[in-house]
Amino acid sequence: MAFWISRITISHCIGILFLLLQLGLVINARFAPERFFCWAPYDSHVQFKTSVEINGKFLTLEEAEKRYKYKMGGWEQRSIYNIFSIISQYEKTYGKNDEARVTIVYSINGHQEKVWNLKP
Amino acid sequence: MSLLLSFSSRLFKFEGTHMHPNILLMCKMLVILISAHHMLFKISDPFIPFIQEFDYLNEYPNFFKYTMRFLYVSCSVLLLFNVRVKTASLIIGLVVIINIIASKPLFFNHVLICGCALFLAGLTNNKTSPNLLIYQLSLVYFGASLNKFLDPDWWSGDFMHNWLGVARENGPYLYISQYFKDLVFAKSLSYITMFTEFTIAVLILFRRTRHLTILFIIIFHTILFTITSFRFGHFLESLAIVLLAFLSIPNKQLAITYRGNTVGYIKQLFQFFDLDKKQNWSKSTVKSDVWLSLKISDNVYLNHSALKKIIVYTPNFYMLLLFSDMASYIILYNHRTLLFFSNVIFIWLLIFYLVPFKQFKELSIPNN
Repeated sequence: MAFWISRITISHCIGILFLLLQLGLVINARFAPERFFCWAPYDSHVQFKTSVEINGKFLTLEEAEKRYKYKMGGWEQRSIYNIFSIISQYEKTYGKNDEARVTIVYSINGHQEKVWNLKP
Repeated sequence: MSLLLSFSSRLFKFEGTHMHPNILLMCKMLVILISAHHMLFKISDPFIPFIQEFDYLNEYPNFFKYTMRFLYVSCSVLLLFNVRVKTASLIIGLVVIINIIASKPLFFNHVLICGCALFLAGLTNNKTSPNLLIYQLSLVYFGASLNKFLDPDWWSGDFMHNWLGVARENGPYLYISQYFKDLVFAKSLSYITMFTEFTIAVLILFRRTRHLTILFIIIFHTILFTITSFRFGHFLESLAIVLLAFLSIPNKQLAITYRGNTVGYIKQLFQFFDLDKKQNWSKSTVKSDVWLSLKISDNVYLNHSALKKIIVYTPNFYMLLLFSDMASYIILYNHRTLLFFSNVIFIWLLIFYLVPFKQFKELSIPNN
């Protein structure tokens, strides 16, 4: 035991802490709908369509993608809540004066379509 | 000129640093991989960050972007040319991870795994085994399996059917699934995936089962690629490269004896690859069935067993694979079907040749 403890370096401690942090994030993901930092790659497949209205004007798909720097339609291989998170945070910060209304129509894993709305 | 040549040859050298040669090889390949996927240009000022304090950095436009880009480029050069490799790897890993934390839209698991592996590689040394990387890999599979286990769509087959059948219109899946009712085929694939990932997460932690698990990982992902023709971003390549952490390249010289002119060409090829000068080739004049023999410490490997070991213990063989893969992607970019079939055939041939399915029947004799 003492032999192993003597071999543990600061580097190892940092590494172990880093891994424990990731483990914490994996557990945390059980209590949140988003799937960031929890090693859940390609675990859901969502078809979605976004409509963004800024001050009464609807953005084209390209304009919406440029605004959020993320794809705004088609197939998403990650949790759709990741996209909700991106849009919500953008509109609460950079776009808070834009009066944005965002609607996403989505279907997770082929289930019935649902609608998500973000209102100013 | 010769100094420049000598320095640039360091790109293909892996011995004599503070890292295990296989870990250094892993780091270099990861850096080449993410750089080829435009990592440098993806480094940008914070945008919708996970930690909102990053937004304060936007008060100084381009400061974050150019600082991180400078660190990425300079540390990549240091790492690739064997200068302060541990520090360089650590910083590149941090740059990749911080860049993701600073921009939510840049979150991708296939980039994050590269950042984590580089960061942890920077914390390992050449005296102990790379346990941190082993735990990391276990955690990746644990997270993936846990998320699937708790998702009803993975138990009902809805995810698999929607992905393969609807989104990708996968031919083999659609063909086979028509013979089964109630998504039985989709469920089977889901269950196999979930339990395989969980088994990998557990078995990789134990030394006794580790090698078998690595074979399992390679075959599992190759089957997945064969069925789906999908690389999940560059997740498959990244994972294959991280597996190099488990490759134990011998510290000692490889004493190789060969016979015949054909093997002479193989010798020339491997000597060209062996920039670390770890292989000592000598020609045998003794007439026998043995055309190639390899001696490592107390073990002697003969013929194909020897050739397989030489291939596996030649780091630049993996570099060649990576560059060939990139070249084939560029050349066959507009011929995706051909690209897919050539990839699949090549990978399976490589697996069937290199993987020791018959390791107990292999011609390997102890030296004494």
